[in-house]
Amino acid sequence: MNDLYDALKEAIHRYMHMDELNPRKQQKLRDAYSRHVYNYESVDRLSRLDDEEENNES
Amino acid sequence: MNRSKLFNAAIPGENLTVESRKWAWHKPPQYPNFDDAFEYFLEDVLADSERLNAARAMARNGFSALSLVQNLMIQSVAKGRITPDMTLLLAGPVYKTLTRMFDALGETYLTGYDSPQELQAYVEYMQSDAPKKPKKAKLSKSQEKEMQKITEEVSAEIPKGGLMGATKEDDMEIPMDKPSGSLVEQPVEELN
Repeated sequence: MNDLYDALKEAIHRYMHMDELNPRKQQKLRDAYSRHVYNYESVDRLSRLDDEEENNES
Repeated sequence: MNRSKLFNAAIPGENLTVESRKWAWHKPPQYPNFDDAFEYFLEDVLADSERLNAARAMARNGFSALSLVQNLMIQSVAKGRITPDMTLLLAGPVYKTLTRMFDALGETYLTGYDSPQELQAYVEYMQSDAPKKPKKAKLSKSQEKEMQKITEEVSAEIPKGGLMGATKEDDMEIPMDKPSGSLVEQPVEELN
């Protein structure tokens, strides 16, 4: 990583594609957010759209 | 090249003698807690219609969502709101929220992780004469209910009695020509 811009790009990619990480890295990333109120699930619920809700219900 | 500038260059070690509290990022951050920092981004940045519209305008002109978030993070560090380490934690959730908001608003934007084919399609879309108006905003059922409730409250009839029902005739008129008695006094013309 050359600078903060690259680090941010990498961090966003890991957060957005958490399912593509190996289980160990995935758990590590989830743990980093789990101690906060706005954890991974809360942020996901916060901005869920209508079509996603319907997909989850069906 | 201006030769006189050669003699004004920094002396090795000069950085160790200058004021270390000069810049915002040299001081403790305003939001050291993740939740407080994320709430700041939600309430003061993403919920601010002016800032969101500016972001939409930039996204429409080819700025990717990734560059928007990167710049927002760097700007927040520069203003002393968060630390550089905190940006790495916050970037993901802020990016996710911002892109979902763009999706809800029906914007066509670059994510920052686009493949060459996606970039090509975006360029063709930008060059085409197709109208660049955003699609209809997509709201969840709960959000639609909330919107309906707010609209009903706003359009509800104004009560006729009591303080809330005061007519316009009762409005107090503020004389504009007289001195207002405010803290800033109006300049008085000097008489010769």
